This record gives sequence, structure tokens and C-alpha cells, in this order.
Amino acid sequence: MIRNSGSFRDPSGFVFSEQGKIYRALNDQGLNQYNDLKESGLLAKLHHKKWLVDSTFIDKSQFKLLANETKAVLAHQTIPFISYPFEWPFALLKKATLFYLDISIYALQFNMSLNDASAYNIQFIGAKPIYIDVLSFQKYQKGQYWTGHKQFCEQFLIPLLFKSKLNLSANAIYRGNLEGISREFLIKSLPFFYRFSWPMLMHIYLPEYFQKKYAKKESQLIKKQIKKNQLSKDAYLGMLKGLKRWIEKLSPTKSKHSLWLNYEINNSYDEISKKEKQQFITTFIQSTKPKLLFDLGCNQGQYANVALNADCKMVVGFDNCFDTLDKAVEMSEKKALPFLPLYSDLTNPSPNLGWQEKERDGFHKRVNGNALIALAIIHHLRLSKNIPLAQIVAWLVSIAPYGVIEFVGKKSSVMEKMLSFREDVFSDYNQTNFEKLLKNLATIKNKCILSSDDRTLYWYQRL
Amino acid sequence: MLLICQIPLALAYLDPGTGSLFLQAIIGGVSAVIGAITLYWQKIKRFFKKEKKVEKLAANEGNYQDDKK
Repeated sequence: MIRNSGSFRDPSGFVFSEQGKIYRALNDQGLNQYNDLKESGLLAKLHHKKWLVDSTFIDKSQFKLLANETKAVLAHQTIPFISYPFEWPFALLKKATLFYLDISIYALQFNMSLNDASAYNIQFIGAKPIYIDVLSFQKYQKGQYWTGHKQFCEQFLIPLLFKSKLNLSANAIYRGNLEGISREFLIKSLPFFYRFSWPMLMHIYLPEYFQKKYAKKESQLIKKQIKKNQLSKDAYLGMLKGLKRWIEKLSPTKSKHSLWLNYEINNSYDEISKKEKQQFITTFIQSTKPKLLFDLGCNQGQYANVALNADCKMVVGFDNCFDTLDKAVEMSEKKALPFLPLYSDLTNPSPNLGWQEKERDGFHKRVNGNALIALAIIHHLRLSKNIPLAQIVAWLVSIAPYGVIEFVGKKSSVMEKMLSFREDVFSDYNQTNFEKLLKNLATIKNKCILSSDDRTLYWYQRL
Repeated sequence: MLLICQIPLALAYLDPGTGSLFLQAIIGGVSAVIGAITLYWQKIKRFFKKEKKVEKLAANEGNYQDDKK
């Protein structure tokens, strides 16, 4: 029994895993909350809509290490890959935000409400969001405030506003703060005129003003005011619906000079090479049948799509271009693919984070042990990031026991361009050395030299 | 501490933030005032409508009487 190290804040229970399956221990309070959710009729509806992870009661006596306070155990559906909000491009964060609001609005119809607004409670299966915390629901009490409003702003709204109002992807800032981005941080970054925007005033400026004015004063007046007033259900719903209308209209400010946005059309190899590449990936997938494939440098998901058409169950893609990732999300959604495109700078991937550095697992802990494709990325790691080729090869082979790596030679037009204004100090970057390094760690199962542009594909199997 | 008394126990582990709560207290207050005004406005409207209806009914009845004649 391994207790989930990120599940310690909830007073109603905790998540643990055993033999790869996910369970939730409920104490008295948790069991009451779960029963309320069930009796309200909301649980069945959410399961029907596939908005909430499946959960079924399971005999708790099979888990010997559970404390006496555990009153019941739920078995949960397993999420294929856990991602975090700071890895989501704008399109996914917006989907998650609207999904949270939809669930909150829907729950109120059943006289239930969400007791927090943690973005970490939302996961993606493909580009489709799903809520994973059954203990976030509790009975709506007449006049109650929306206690998750601040958390909602910090974890959902403000990162969206950074991109849509300032054209800044705040993923790195989010990762650094983990619990979201403060209103103060946004306010100090925004031009003055945003104070005249009604939703900005309501959700950003005014709460921050009141927070600063009253938080330290312990004013009896404010306490009285908060105690005396109640938020009617209509006003609660009005806040949620107003936010939904506003957020639906938010869109990312498009970068005019995104290098990778048109890569799928404007790349340096011809149609024949493209077909050869697709065929190689198809054969690799049909032979290895991976349940989960990682596409490093996924771009808009062209080869993720090829892999899924072959026989792959799910692809998680990583790229560091936000505009491209938004396109990839669009494609995944349009074709209803089990393809999840995420942001990652592979030379600075997500580390273990949070309390005791165990709360959120890093990239390597989550990625390990599946198949990968790394198409035309190693020359970027070598030339742009100055990582020695030996380290790149060792890193790739350590991530996945089998995969496909594309080697782009120095005669390729893209490499010629990259080297045109700098001295070639990359003597280790050549095909002979690459093959030698790969053979030290893996068997080369297959190889394909593409007809154009000095590119070779390698299918490796770790030794 | 006051908030903990007011908010159900399961919510208490989350810091709701004074700013967000005070804003909602204002929204709550304003919406209550608007609600009350709407309620009274509707009552007033209903009162006049009723008077009009009575007048109309009386007029209709008058017409009916005329027809009968």
C-alpha cells in the first residue's frame, strides 16, 4: 500500500495505490460526504456524463495497513497519465476552467457544491477533462459563500489572463508557485486601464483591494459584514455563470512569429520522406503495441496521430511551443483522439515539487517505462542547448525501454541553417558516433534512411 | 476563526481569502437589496395590473350587458 504523497490536505480521506490500482480511504466525514453525493443523485449523473472518475466501494479488510479511522474504501478508475496545470497549454487550461465551472453549476441543481477549486483535481484523458476528487463535493448550505473563489482565480483564471491579456504563457511562474499565481502578481503586470474592465474589477482588483485592506486589521466590521450577509443561490450561480461567459470569450494572443506553428507544412523534407517516416512509425507501433507512447517534440501531433491510427492506445506529447500545442489540442479534440499534448522544456522538465518534494511527481517519475518517439529533436538538444550527444542518447534510452529516434545529419537543410552563423564545435554530433552510442545501450531493431534531407530513423530496444 | 464557525467543517481546510469573501458579502448584500426591490416592484406592478384587470373586467361586463340589451 503506497499512500499518495499529494493527498494529505483533505480531512475526509486520502488516496493510496496498491499493485497499480488507485483507492481512496474515507473516514467518517468522507463517508458522509460521499453518501450525500450519492443520495443527491449527482454522483450517478456525473458518472453517466463521464465527468467524474468511476468509484465503487471495495472490502476494506483486504488492506491491512489502514488505520481504524478508515470507514470505507473506494476503488477508482486509473488515469493513464497524470498531468499538472502548469504543463497545460492555454487551450487545455481553458477547457479545465470551463469544465470546473460547468461541474459547479450542474452540482448546484442537485443542491451540492464544490468545496475547493483545485486545478489538480482535474485530469485529462486525451483532451477530455475529468474530475478526480469525489470528496470535493458536499451539500450546498443556504447562503453559503463560494470559498473556492480565491483558489479558482489563482489556479485557473489568472494563468489564463496572463496569456490572453499579456501574451505571456505563465506556466513557469505557475510551476514555481504550485498553488497558483497571486492576484497581486497579475495586477502588477497589467496596464492601468484594466481597472475599468468589469470582470477584472470583480474577480481581480476588488478582492485584492479588500484582502489588503482588511486581512491584517482583523476588523470587527468586516467580520460582521461577512457573517451578516449571505450569498443567495442565485447570486452564487450568477457569479459562476458570469465567469463562464467571460472565460469562454478569452483567447490566447497569437504570436506572429511562432517558429513551429507551420512546421508540419513548411518542414525541410519531401512527401516521399514523410510517407517513409509514417510507415516506419506504423510498423514500430504495430510490432510493439505500446499502451502509452510519449512523443517528445510532438509539434501539432502529426505522428501521434499516425501512432494512434496504427495500434497505440494513448499518446502523451511534449513540446515547448505554446501556439503549436494549442493546435495539437484542437486536433485531438476534433478527432476525439486519446492524445494529450503538454508543455515541457525537455532540458528543464518538471521536477518533484511541493511539500517534502513529493507532492507532485516530476517528469521522469511519470514518464518512465513506456515507449517513446523522439523525432528530429536531438539536433536541437545538441546545437541549441549544448548537451553532449552521449548524454542525450543515454537520457532517451533511460526514459523508455524501446522507441524511435530520428537523427538529423549535418547535411540536412535545417542543420545547415542552424550552423550557418556559428562555428561547428559539435564534433561528437555525427551519425557514426550516434550509432556507436546507441549500440552501447540498446539494440538497433530497425533503421530507415529517409530519401531526402539527410535524416535517419532508428528503432531501438534497450539492452 | 469566525469563518470556520460559519463555513462547514470540510471547507475549513481551504483558506477562502478575506478579499474573496468580502466581495461575495457585498454581492450577497447587493443581490439581496436588488431581490427585495424586485419583489416590491412586482408587488406594485401586480397591484396596478389587478386594478386594471378589474376595470377591464368591469368594462367587459358592461359590454356584455350592452350586448344583452
